Amino acid sequence: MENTDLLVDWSRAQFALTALYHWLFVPLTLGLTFIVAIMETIYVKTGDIWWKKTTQFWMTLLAINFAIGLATGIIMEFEFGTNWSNYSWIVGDIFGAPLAIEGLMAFFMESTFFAVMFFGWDKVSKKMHLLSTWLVAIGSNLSALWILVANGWMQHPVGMQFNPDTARNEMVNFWDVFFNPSAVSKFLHTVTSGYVLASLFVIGISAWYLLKKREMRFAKRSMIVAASFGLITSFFLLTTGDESAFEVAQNQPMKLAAMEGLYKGKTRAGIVAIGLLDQEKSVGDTKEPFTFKLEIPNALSFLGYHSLQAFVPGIEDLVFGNKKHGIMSVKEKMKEGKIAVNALASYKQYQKEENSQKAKEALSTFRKHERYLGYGYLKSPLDAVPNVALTFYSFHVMVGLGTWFLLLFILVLYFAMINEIEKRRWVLYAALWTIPLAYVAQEAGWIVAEAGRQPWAIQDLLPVGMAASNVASTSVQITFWLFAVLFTGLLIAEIKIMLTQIKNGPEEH
Amino acid sequence: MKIGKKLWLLIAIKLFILFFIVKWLFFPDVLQTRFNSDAERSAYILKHLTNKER
Repeated sequence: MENTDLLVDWSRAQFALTALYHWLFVPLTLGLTFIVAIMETIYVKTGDIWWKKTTQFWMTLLAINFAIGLATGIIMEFEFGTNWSNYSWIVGDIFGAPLAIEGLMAFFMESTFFAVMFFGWDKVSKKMHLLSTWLVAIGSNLSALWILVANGWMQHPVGMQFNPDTARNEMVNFWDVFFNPSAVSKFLHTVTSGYVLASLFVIGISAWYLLKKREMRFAKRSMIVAASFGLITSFFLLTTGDESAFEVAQNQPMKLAAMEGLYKGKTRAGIVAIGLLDQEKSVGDTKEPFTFKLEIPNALSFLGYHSLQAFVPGIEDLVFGNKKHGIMSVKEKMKEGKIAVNALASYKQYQKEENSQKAKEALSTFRKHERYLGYGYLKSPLDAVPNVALTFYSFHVMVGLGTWFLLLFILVLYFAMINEIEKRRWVLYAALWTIPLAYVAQEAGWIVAEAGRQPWAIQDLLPVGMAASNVASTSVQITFWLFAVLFTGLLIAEIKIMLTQIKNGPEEH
Repeated sequence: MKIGKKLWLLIAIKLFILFFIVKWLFFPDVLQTRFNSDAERSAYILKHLTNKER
């Protein structure tokens, strides 16, 4: 048995692989369910059989995605029990409730009505079928809600208290966990990104039909619905992205600094629109962080603190402290954290010795310092810094692509509305090639959220090294490759089955 | 094979691999298998959190 950096790295790599592959399937389901529901609503309202065919075609692609993506997330729960058992124990009560609600309510609701939606055409009434389709859309989004509440808690742990007798965090206020601002903004931003991806998926495939001069009426109709949905939700995505960045600034300032490659804090801080980081740059040296950058003045101060003049702390302010702005150094936090760890050890010892007075004093000391508990496990202040390049580039890829998607929705909607979309082949090619870019943006977003939170499994309370199980790293390596093969197989199956359906076209329905 | 049947087959194969091979062979619940009670699990985690030799 071992518990080395290698083991933690492999455990993290495996979780990242699983999460990234899982997220190839989820956002399409989140968004396509709503697009299909909108199309079916038009069919029920107008009685136009063409809308039924259109709905059924996209529903088939949704079913393929749903079937292949189904249960890929359960592997993360396997990993919690095996590779992250310490973490699972420590967070058990907080994670357990949202995940149980997700399993009992949202997943069963989604799956039950999915069967009615997919197999129930002409077997139930039109209205019942439409209701089922909407319930699938709502159910799939509710599934995401509970999982993102759990993830939001990892970013900003609230509504709980650590029990030193059981070593578990216990929920003291469910509503604080549920309405955690990090969870709310994360949920809204994540599901909206799914709506944008699904819109781009529908537009891209419709563009392929137009390029092939096939299914023209179907493709144009689908494009108008998807571009309208995508445009509206893109504005919402922008708003929720702003809210997410605000929450990150309040609760995870190190992540925000890494997202922007900001080493030295400043007032009126700008956002780097385009930039190339100097790979030689280290925390505390005198080198400039960028070899090249184009900046939007004051934008980061506004994004992070909703004020053009606000001071935005940089990585070095957060590591070494900044008295002027009341920022504690990591070294000081490590001291506080070690006091908490020692107080916890003393509490345990006095409990064993049945010295209740001393145990009470130790517990009181622990409570005073427990907010820095995780820092007590860091070996060096620099351990508190995430991978800056990975976080910076992922964030900028996500934002850059999000901007392009908004522009594409406007172009597609405009040319479709004036009935010239089939003549604008460059827009059609752009729409087709934007499908993979939509997935790149999704994955980049999760890399920002998770890699930017490092070294923490639970922000400030539990570093990943303490969260990992003491298991053999070779077994984690074996299952890493096993999953890589399994998921790649599933992805190939998904693409192959989908391409066959797309080539067959909507006329088959 | 119709698309519905193809998808059911795929789901069945995948669930079999996940629950009867992957979970059973490679993913034991570490704390459940190593300890008999919650008290033992708590004691282990507390020891881990307060280990001064780290």
